[in-house]
Amino acid sequence: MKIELIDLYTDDGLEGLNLSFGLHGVSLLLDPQELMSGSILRALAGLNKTLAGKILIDGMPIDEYRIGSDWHHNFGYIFAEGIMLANLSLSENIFLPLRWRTPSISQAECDKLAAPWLQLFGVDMDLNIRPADVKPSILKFLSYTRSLILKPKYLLIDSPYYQLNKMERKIMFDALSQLRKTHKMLIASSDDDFAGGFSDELVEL
Amino acid sequence: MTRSKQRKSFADFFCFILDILPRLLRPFGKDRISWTVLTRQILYTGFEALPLIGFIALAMGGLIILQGNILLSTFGQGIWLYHILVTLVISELSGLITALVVIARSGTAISTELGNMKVNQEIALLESFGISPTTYLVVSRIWGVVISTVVLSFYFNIIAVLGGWLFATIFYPLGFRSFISNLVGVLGYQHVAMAFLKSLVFGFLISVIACFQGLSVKSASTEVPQRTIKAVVSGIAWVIVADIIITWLFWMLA
Repeated sequence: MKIELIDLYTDDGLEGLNLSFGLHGVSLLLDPQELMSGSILRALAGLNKTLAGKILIDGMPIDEYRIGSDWHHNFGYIFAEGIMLANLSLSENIFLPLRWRTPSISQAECDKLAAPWLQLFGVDMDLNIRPADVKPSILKFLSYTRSLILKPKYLLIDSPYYQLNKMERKIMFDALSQLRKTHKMLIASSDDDFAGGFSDELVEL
Repeated sequence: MTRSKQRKSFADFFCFILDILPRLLRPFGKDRISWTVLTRQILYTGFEALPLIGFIALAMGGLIILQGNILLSTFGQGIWLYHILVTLVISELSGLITALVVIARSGTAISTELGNMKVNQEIALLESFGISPTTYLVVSRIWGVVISTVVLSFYFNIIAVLGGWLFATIFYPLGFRSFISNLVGVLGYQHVAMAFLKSLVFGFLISVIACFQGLSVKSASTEVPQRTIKAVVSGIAWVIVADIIITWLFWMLA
């Protein structure tokens, strides 16, 4: 997959950006100042407003690509912060998109789908509490679980190390090392850990 | 606010309504409402407001009978009490007072909640999963508030009538059956239709305005209380305008 940003202006700070990169394995948008990489991911996910310019995916305008490619099933966007709906429990949050897509799915099936991902991130806790009662790093791990149970082909990951301490960073790095075997990933980060041997394509911003 | 900003805000509001209307009429399609949001909204707006509405209705019904009796019994015109009860409580006060209570409790809550959700990127989160925030959050809430307002208004009428009867018995022995049969004799279908239509329209206006103001928050948490104030002020203004229009329409048709 080839992604091209042509003279792109967005409402969250991109100004006339021209960029082209592939998404075949793991692509890293290395952004030491964290000025643009997050906005690029948001633009791809359709979460910011394009003021001018265009985004092409395999030569096709992204809006057309989204319609033709069942975008939300194939692409999983993961926020830098572990964002959860405050008025739902952790369990309701994790399974919200899954239940929205397959309303007939049972709780047992949901739990079965989530179990390996929760194990991958080392999360073993009561999920019937509210997000406000949990550490931001746990919310972040749960937000990865929420995206992964939807079985996306591509993961758009914003700042994987954000809000994590040294130990949690190791858990995240190990988890992403596992995920790179099964998923194609576009990672926006300021951290060198994902450069070098980890990424197949490095885009320095 | 400058005039051009006011015009933009009005245009945005009507675009918002145009976006919502087709979704409101198709709540069970592919882009469906959330039962969780709907039932919780009915719980907060409807069920939890029952004691307050009941208290106000009981007091209103009783006070109208009390004041009316003092005035009318002097002239031997007791039957007009029922007319006053029907016209004032069922046609006017039930809808209006219920609407004010719903604005104060739920209009503010919806606006604040949606505003905070916008600031905390929860709206963007829903969009990232392909869940329409308009249907999931707004349409579900509108249905919840409309259903609750209609039920609360009906409940207000029943309690106000009961309150009226209770207070009436203070002045003279009046059987409940006799009181109700006199009341039903005065009550016309147009009173019931007007009360129903008003509660329906008020519920819609309150929830749409609260949702619009909540979602109009951009990114700063300081905007949330400002938008909540706007939701309350606009809600009261639109409800009163709608009340006048509906009353005038029924008066023209009568």
